[in-house]
Amino acid sequence: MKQRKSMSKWLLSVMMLALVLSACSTGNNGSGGDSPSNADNPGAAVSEPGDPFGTYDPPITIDAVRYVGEEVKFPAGQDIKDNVWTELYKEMGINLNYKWIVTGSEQYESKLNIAIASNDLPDIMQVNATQLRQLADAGQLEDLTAAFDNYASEDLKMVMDIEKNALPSATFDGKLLAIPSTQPVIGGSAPLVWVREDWMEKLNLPEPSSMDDLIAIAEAFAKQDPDGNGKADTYGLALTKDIGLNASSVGFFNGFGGFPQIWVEDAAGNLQFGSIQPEMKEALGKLQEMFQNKLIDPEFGVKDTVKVFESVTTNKIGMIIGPSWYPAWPLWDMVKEDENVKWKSYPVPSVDGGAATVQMPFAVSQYYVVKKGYSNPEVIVKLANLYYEKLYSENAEFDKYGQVVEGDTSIGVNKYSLVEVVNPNKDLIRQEELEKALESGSDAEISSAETVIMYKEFQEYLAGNNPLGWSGYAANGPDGSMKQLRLLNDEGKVTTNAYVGAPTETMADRKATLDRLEQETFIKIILGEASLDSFDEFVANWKKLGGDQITEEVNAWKAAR
Amino acid sequence: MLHKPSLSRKIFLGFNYVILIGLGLLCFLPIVHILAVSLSSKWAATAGVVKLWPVDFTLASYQYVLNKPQFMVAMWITVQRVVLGTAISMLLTLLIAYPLSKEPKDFKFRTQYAWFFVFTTLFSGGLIPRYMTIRDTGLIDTLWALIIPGAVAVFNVILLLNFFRGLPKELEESCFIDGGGYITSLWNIYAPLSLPAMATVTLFTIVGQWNEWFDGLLLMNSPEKYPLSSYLQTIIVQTNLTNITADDAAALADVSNRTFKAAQIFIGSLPILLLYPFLQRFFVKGIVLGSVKE
Amino acid sequence: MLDKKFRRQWPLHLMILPGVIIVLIYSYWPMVGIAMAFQKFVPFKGLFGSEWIGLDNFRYVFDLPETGQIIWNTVFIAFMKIIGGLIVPIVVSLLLNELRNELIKRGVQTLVYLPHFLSWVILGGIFIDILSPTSGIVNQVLGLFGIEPIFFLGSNKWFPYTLVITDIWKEFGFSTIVYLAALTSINPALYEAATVDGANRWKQTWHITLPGMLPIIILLATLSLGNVLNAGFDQVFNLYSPQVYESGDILDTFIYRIGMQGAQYGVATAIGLFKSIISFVFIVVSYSLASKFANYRIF
Repeated sequence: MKQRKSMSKWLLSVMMLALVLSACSTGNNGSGGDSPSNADNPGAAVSEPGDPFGTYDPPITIDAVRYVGEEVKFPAGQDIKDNVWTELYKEMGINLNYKWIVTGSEQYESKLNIAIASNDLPDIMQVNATQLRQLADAGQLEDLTAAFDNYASEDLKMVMDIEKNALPSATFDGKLLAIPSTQPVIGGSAPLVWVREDWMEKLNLPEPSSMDDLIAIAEAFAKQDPDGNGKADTYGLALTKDIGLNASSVGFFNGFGGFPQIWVEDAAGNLQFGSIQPEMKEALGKLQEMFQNKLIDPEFGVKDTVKVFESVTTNKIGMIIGPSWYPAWPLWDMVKEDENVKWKSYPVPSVDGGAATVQMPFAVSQYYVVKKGYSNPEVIVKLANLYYEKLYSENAEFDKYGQVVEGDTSIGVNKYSLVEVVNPNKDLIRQEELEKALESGSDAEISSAETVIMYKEFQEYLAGNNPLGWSGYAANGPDGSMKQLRLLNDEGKVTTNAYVGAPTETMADRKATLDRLEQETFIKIILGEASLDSFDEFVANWKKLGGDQITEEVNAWKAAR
Repeated sequence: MLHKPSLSRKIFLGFNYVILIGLGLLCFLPIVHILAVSLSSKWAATAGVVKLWPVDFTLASYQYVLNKPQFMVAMWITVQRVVLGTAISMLLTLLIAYPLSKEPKDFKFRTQYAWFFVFTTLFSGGLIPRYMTIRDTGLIDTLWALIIPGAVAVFNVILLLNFFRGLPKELEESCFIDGGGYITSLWNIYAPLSLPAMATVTLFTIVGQWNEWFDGLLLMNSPEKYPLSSYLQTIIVQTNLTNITADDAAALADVSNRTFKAAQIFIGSLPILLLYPFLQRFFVKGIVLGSVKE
Repeated sequence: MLDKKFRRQWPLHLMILPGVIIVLIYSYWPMVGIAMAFQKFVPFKGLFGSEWIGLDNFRYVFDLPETGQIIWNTVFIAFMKIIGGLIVPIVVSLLLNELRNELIKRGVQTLVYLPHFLSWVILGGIFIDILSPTSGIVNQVLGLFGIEPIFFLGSNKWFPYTLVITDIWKEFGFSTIVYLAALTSINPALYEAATVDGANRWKQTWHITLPGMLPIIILLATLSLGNVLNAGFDQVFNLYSPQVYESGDILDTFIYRIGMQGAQYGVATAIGLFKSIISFVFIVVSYSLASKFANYRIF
């Protein structure tokens, strides 16, 4: 007994010691981070318009961090620290010094979180919306308002104009604190219905022009033995376990006018959370019926996208709602293996017939920021200028900075650029130009060297020399998925999250709980383990558990803009 | 052992063989599956039709891996890490376990020391303070960052000290009488006499060093410095498909090749899989020594 | 007198010193971070600039509606894993000990240790296939015995047991190694004497082998009790789905999802501390029980 007491006392003293020791160290770190305090006059150095492509003499050095995608390849003799882009930067008097490099964006995010938490920031970095908010609140970011006004190229300004929410989402208290990395999300995420055309022909089914049609096709695929093997081993519609997050279910909800997980404007102009709207209930009811009717894989509740791809590839499922790029993966693997397999995309039909309005995420999920106190904040604007200039402008050198061919592999060297600002409509413009070029038989009207490369691939494919061209053609050809999205977009039938800020305070506290509730309720309704009316209970709980407060915060955010 | 086995014993032994061989196979099949995937075509892997035998046999994935410099570099770093890390960790484990195996009357603060170490297995300051400490001691981005901070493996210490306690005291006393000190006793008596335990703890240390992937990702500043486990982690983690552009998807389709992943996982685990059969002879040796000892 | 004792014992202190120093620097020093559990931690304000909020981080987690269920799931799964993770390796090592064919013995020993090296990311995909109620091999085998297909990964009734069994499958071979090492240190003379006395194998196992292994069994049992709130993040994360949140969502996966909404260092640290304290209590209690009843000091 006595021994134990003395032991705990002794342990305690060790811990106290540790506390005291660490206290000293943390104190030091804190003051160390603040020392370069010439930051009190942000942007003062750049008061008049500068040259968007001006070189630095003497050269400057920037500490940066970055990730390299797993898919990125390098030509012989180049690597991420030494390549055509770093050469280009050097010519401009910009020396990049990478403090660290990781593989893949998930790794990057967690490593950057650690860098932020341990106060170990580079001069420029890419951050997500949450990290941006965190750094902005802590006053750690350089004001880029003047730098953008003075140094942004015409092209960069044009891109920022296309996505009206891009700059506002990076603006805090009237100060622009980041350059948004705009991306063509429409081709990446907006849902379409992918259908096995060979099965449709075999069963003599009409095109899906309403949700009822779509369900009828699903039923025929499940019940009429489309693969002709005499076994009831096929399903009508693919679903993944993450209901409301994955395109397979998101597109279905869109067909009923539901918009899960995003904020939509109601008739009165207020923002409402899509997942709790009555349209969702209707769609869930249909899914429940379909599940009961065995049109959906009974095991979908444990399968993620890649697992569902397996079922699709092995001819178990004839219809999957997904983004425009499915031809590249997983459909190409099937088409290559069996030439009888035909896949075709359709716009998601609405419940009343015609095309439904579909949803996509906000075009900006990443931002580029400059650490407070860095002497040349405008460099980030110049890097963004440079990306667009060298790849997509009239002076582009795409064959040098975009894509090079080495042996028989083409290498996307554009991925080495530290900053990526892409025209949000890039995919749509490309499709339109390709279609026109195919019609006229000339690439004269094509504005980007990247598109010319694809045009040549199309010609090869159509001449029967390039079977691999199938996936590009199925997406970007005259009847391709991107064309369908382009038409939808022209009709204003592509919507996006109306809330583009970082997670609000209550979101940070409650969203995990609310999402769990949502996911669990939705899947139980579909499986028939819960009645459809439990949706109403979910809505009430959602509001009570913090949803109402989040709605208030989101609308306050809207009012403030 | 001298008398003939009874019928019931024969039946028991029969069942025993069946059960254990069955268990062994059950544990073996996933590796066979991974090997089969690595030898199959990309389509077969994507479709998930490969079970235990390759479908559309091809060696393409092994060609790919052997031409991938990063895989080899990572393997070399792991070898360095395992050799150095195991040597240092085993030395420390011995140096801690031996004094702790003494009774309090022979080593006054042993119990306090023991709790001092055990406490660290239960409480930790979390990721950020750990990272900052390793950074402030200048180890970040060096091989030592993977070796030093985790060098004291408390579980192994406890295991070893328990085996040490089981050894007869007389042997050590005779060593002291011959004029030997603690070090001599540890080196000449304790370590060799507890070979099975030492083999076990060495195995655990090597496996621990081999498998640990998180510290590589956390503490190394570029992928060329990752050990194999960290590198493998970056390739097996499934890419998040929700927020990518159409162009990225096309590029990802290339690398999503599961046969490549399977091949790397298989080659990457071969050395460690072969380690245990190699260490097994020390277990047998232990039996012989054990029979001598009392 | 104390001086004299110290003079005799100082080499022991010296031996242990390097380990003590490393642990002090890399384990105790960072423990200052535990303070975050009581703070609304803001990175740039640092540990001593952040606002102290007392027990708010704990209160936040324990006030969430799902916490009760999640803690129950965690304890239930972890506890069953502890029990199974103790019994199975002991039984297997005893069975292995009965084998006389060295080749088969070593072969089995090696094979059962293989799954330890596969990560749950890989195994997750494999298990979805083999446990499938429609096409999985497990259900096909059960079907031979007339058992209706079971949706192991999708049913809230079965999911926790599936976690426990697959976890034991993955790890038992590795723990078996410890027991096998313990078996080798049992004096063979004892068996010979027992044989002469006419004791059969069953009696020998009961009276010689098991008592010989007992210290190691007590040791591993005590240490594993520290895991009473560790239900296995990697495994659950790769096998669960919203369909089985009810029975399979555990503290670690829950905290992970909270963290996805923004780095909540305070909350994560608070939960970590909570788990540490519970583990500490369990270890202390079982340590004293073992020393009181079995008269055995574990460490």
